[in-house]
Amino acid sequence: MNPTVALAIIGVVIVLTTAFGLFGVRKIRMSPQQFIVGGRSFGAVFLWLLMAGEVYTSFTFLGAAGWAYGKGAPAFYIICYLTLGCTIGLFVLPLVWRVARQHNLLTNADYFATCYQSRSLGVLAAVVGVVFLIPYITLQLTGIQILLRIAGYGSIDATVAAGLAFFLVVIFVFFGGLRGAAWASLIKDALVLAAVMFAGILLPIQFFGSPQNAIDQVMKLKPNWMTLVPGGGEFGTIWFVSTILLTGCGAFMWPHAIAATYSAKDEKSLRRNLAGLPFYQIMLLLMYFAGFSALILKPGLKGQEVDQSFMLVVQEHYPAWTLGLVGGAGCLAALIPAATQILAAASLISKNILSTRAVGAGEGNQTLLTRCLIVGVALLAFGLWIFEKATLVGLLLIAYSGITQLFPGVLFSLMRQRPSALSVVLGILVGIGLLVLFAAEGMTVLSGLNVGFVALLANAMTVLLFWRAGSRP
Amino acid sequence: MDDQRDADGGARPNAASLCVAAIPFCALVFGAFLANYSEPRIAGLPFFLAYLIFWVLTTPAFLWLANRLLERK
Repeated sequence: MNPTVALAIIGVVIVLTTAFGLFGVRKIRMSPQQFIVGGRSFGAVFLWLLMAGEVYTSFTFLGAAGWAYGKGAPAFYIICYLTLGCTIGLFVLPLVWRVARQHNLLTNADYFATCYQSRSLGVLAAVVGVVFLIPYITLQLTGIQILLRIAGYGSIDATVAAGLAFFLVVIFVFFGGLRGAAWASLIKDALVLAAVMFAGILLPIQFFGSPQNAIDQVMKLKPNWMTLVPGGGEFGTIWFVSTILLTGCGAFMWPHAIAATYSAKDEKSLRRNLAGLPFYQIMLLLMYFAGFSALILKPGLKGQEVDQSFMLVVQEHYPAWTLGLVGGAGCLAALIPAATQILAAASLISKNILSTRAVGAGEGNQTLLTRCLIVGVALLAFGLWIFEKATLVGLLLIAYSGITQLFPGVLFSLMRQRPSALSVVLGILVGIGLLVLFAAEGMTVLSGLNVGFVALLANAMTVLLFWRAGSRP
Repeated sequence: MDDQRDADGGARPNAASLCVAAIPFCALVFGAFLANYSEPRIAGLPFFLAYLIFWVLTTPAFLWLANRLLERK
């Protein structure tokens, strides 16, 4: 086995894709509107690429197979929550988009500041966004490191290589902005689609005759693998239901998902997109097949190793070039979403946390400031990653629960009689306070419910309780 | 601002569209309670997975219909 072949292919794939993305935007002048939300001009195709591109990150790629391998039926939550997210989004996001269009909003924090006429709430929403985006970005780095280590057949530790790939993408988003990311998603999606079809169809057919036979073998080995434990245990039915509701509400609360929403050129493109997006979940079904196949072919992986399961099967049974292409697709699935996440975090800081007036109102200045902050956010995420690799999976669970605390504020903003800004602030603080408490206690379920869901309910109840608090009569 | 938001008569959620979208939504949410079985197998898939996949893939049809109901003035 030759490690240089697979690694070289991954390198070429990443460089070509970023070059393609930059080529796509070579003649575009980057005003803040253009840089952060693509000039609000994306039609159905671009919007599809961007939204689907953000939803399918390396953790969908590795994690869906990993959970199918390590947990079985609880993994099915991934196909459910994105579908619920699209259904909720269909009713919520067009109204958010309309406010954004009217007031030229750039970030999700802008939306809070505008709807509730409170700059402080905007700052709080921005802080929440940045704080929970950073662990998500570091997670992508872990994904890249896993892929590069496997592609190098264990000959390199891949920390440096992952860092190099990461900073290439930082340079890419520095110049390309959101539109560059949408262009790059074109290649990324094509490669990921090919890799997923290989992993979920060709691989099971080759070893078992069909994906269904792979499932038969898993069920012979573990008869209860395809159903949930009924009731309130960890990963039981109650956990499943509360988790898909929680993450369904949170799916489009991410700052980068809101930026993608703003980039729509009209409401119709946005709504049609959300209606069609669940079709994409079929890719995840294929990743389950890949995970189940890996469970038979390479049993015995434990803990965080399960995320590597299907890549290890590819490494063992296929030539280096196949490993390189699949690994390259996986790396892109980490890098392109990381690019939009870094961009969203940087725009939150430049637009909402630092006052733009401080650096002059010029549009060029704002783009420049956002670009500088891209480098800052990337360095921060990279630093965190170097020091805190071990706790990342725990961090992601908290991050998803954390970002969802913005949902009640968005939902209540759609009502004719809105709650006061103070009540929304209190709700977010109560929700996040509870999450910190649960995390400190090491709790993930409370009488069967996902603790994030409990925090979300407490958040909404707080807003209802203090509905008029602090509002002028 | 509220008036401006409602004035263009665009897609404000209405009862009909919400009901249509609620069908696959509820089917998925309560799926864990209703369909948490391995048997019968459907097209080789365990029943629970087949049930979820069925509702995920029919969701676009329901959302398309909900869209039509939203767009109708």
